[in-house]
Amino acid sequence: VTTSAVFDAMGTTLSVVIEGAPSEGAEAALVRLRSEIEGLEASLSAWRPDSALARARRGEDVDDAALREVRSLASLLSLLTGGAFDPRGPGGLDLDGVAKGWIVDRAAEIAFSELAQARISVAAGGDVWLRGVHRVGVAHPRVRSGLVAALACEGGVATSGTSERGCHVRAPDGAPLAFLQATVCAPALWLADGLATALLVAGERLEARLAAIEGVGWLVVTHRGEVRSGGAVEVLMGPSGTAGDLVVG
Amino acid sequence: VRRAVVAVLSAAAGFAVVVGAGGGTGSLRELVRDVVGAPPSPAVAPRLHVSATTYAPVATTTIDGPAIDYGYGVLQLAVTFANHRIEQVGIAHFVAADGYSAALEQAAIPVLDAEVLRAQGLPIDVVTGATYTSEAYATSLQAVLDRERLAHP
Repeated sequence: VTTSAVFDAMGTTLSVVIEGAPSEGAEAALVRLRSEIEGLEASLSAWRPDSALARARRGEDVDDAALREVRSLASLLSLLTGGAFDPRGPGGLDLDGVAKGWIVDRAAEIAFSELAQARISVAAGGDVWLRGVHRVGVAHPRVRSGLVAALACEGGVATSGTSERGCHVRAPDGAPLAFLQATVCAPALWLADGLATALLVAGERLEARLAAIEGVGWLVVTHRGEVRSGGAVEVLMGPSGTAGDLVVG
Repeated sequence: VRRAVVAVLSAAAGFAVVVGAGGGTGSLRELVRDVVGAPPSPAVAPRLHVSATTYAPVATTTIDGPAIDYGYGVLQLAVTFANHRIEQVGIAHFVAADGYSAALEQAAIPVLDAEVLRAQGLPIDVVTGATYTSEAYATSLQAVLDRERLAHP
């Protein structure tokens, strides 16, 4: 049986598909997922003035378990990426590149703990949490209804780019972004989310570091229109060469 | 040989465009609209038909479809085949009407069409992309997948 739901949370729209679980169990898990996400968002929302994150930014002494955990993951990502992932934004502590993915990881882990056999996807505004291998289309950075590749992934997959919310990702030193778009598959969504942001900023020099992390693979679109992949990712379909190969007219 | 290739070419290009025009979601026309930023006029929309079963070459081959005037420019799609299957639909040539030369540059990144992938037996479960807001979700490819799932559970 397949159960699916679409609902708004974290400033975006979530699409959830649960396959291979009885519908009562799946529906209960969906209710649980929503409430877990809401609870974690109350700690980590950048927009709610009363969130733990907002209070920490104002310099208040905050004791919040979710904030502590995400801050330590942000430091870990900074170490893993040689500083390309930078949790210090212009407005103070900036957890955009890791908080959303982590919220989905944690909420899904709790909500779906009793659906051990189910195949599940949670698409959260371009970042996707996956249990079981899924065929994932990578959105084209310029053509809204098009794809640039199809990948086989499980765990988490996230894409950083400039197409939808405008250029909200910045290089720490204000340098131009290394790629037009970067997609990362990883065993957890917070990791995929953080590494995709770092890869977009740091570019090629980060690829060797990513290759050293078990279960991490990537696909990037360069400013010249090349599509390139590496690491532990299975590209089901994608351009094999540069865009120039196609422009035969 | 030349004639055979031309026949394949028009069948394949017709297939891709018919899927777009008749499939409800208008994928290829939407694609064109997204690239050039304006809806194609229905008066100049392509009227192509699949007259024969698509029989594509075995070796990887890229062939160009017919050039179609969408009113704001002439677009020609390139279809890449391998092992009798469509691998990729890209833009082979695009002559923009005035004001669309910037869009021409953006067309340089190859495009896979989700409709064509599905027609070739590779449906997509889910889509990853740069973060979208709740407002932008409505026009996203993920929303198309969600609507189809609701329509055909």
